[in-house]
Amino acid sequence: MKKMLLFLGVVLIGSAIYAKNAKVTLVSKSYKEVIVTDKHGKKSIKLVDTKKVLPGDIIVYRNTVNNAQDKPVKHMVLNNPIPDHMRYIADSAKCESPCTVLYSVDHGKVFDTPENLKIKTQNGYRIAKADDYTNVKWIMKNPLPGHHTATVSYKAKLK
Amino acid sequence: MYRILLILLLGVTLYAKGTSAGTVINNIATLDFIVDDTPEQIESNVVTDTVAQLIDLHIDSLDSSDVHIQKEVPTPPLSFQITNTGNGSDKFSLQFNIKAKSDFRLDEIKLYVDTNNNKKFDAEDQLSDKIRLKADETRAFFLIAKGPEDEKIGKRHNHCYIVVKGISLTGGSGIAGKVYPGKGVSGTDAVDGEKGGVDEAKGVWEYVSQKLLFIQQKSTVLNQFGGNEPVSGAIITYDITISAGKHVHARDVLYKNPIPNATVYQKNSLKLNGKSLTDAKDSDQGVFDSKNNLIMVDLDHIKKYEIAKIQFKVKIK
Repeated sequence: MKKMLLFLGVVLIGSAIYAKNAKVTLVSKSYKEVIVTDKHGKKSIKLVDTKKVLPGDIIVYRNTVNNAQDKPVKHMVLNNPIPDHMRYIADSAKCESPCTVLYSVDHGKVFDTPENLKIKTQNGYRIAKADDYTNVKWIMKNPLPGHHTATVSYKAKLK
Repeated sequence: MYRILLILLLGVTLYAKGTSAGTVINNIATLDFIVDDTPEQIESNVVTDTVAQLIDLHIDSLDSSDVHIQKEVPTPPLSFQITNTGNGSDKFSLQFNIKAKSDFRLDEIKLYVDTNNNKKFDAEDQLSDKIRLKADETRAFFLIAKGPEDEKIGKRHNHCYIVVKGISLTGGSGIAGKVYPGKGVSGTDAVDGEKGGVDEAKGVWEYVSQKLLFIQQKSTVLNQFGGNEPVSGAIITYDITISAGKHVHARDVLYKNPIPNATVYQKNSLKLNGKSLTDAKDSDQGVFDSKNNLIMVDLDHIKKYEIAKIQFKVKIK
């Protein structure tokens, strides 16, 4: 009986958290960047579904926040660890509304702007390169009004 | 769609040592936010992408120049190497053909894979026209043939041009970007790379006749009267020039020249490249063999384009 009550408790707590966050969701999607040439020979970049990815492919990761409630969502901070085998492409982190983008080279322990991120070397330190980044962080400057969405994105290349 | 893949693959060759086929790439993001002064954190769904198999290969000739065939000498192999430049294990078929422009054909050509991986053809290497390679693995293979019969050798030029081809057995359509659903490593899709899963290299056997060296000889007569008539007592100077063909590195070259009839060798007149040689059998390269009445010069090696100049004198009896 005690076990049963404990189980119910866990279920209820889980339901409570779900209910609390159900109005704000975060959806991540990946797309592959491809160059297409039209019949006039003009080249352009298109995003296609990542049905298959190959070494050298450039993948665009898009994270969309959906605020499905009336209340605004404030102080939004998104953190996206760059997946293993992927290499962040410099200056590719974007946001649709005003934001500050920071990076980490130590898996999210410290975030900073590119010029302040350093990598330890045998002879001291060097400024981190895009290849060194392990995480991208977007700090949204404005609240997200109710029934609105906000999207951030970054690009990475499959090694 | 085909065009899309083709263009996409153009950049792929730089990443021959890319992420292995079958690798799963997961992306997940988190969001911290505040609603009604309550901090909260949620996670995104997990985006999962699986790395497909890129089919690619590269074949090189390991021979720095044409491989020489000589009569009555075992035909040296043509040596190649194949590298799996894709990102997954693949099996390749090896083929060869003799180009139509060849001056002669070799009938008994066989393919051997460098089983012991020493890049040299030896007894351990196995007869095979298929080879399995892990990603980025390289293996040599050889074409072995018997020398041509004389009647098969061209009169003007003596080359047998060979093309070897490697074809992926996972794909290998020859069309960049062709997709093979589920045929890649661990059931991933496989995609023919920039070369369409096919590559080739060329090799050449060159028949070199016995005449590896070219010898030119000239003689100059100077008689005791200051003229050039070959009268008794006149001195004949022989100048011999020996050179190797453009592809030849001749070894153990020993030049022998019998003293012409009705002449007498002039002592210590033997020279090599302008330097006097003694007649005795000693440390220098020249000898006058009085018993057999001939001069000998041990030239040892003559490399391609090298020239050796020998001079000696005789007196007309």
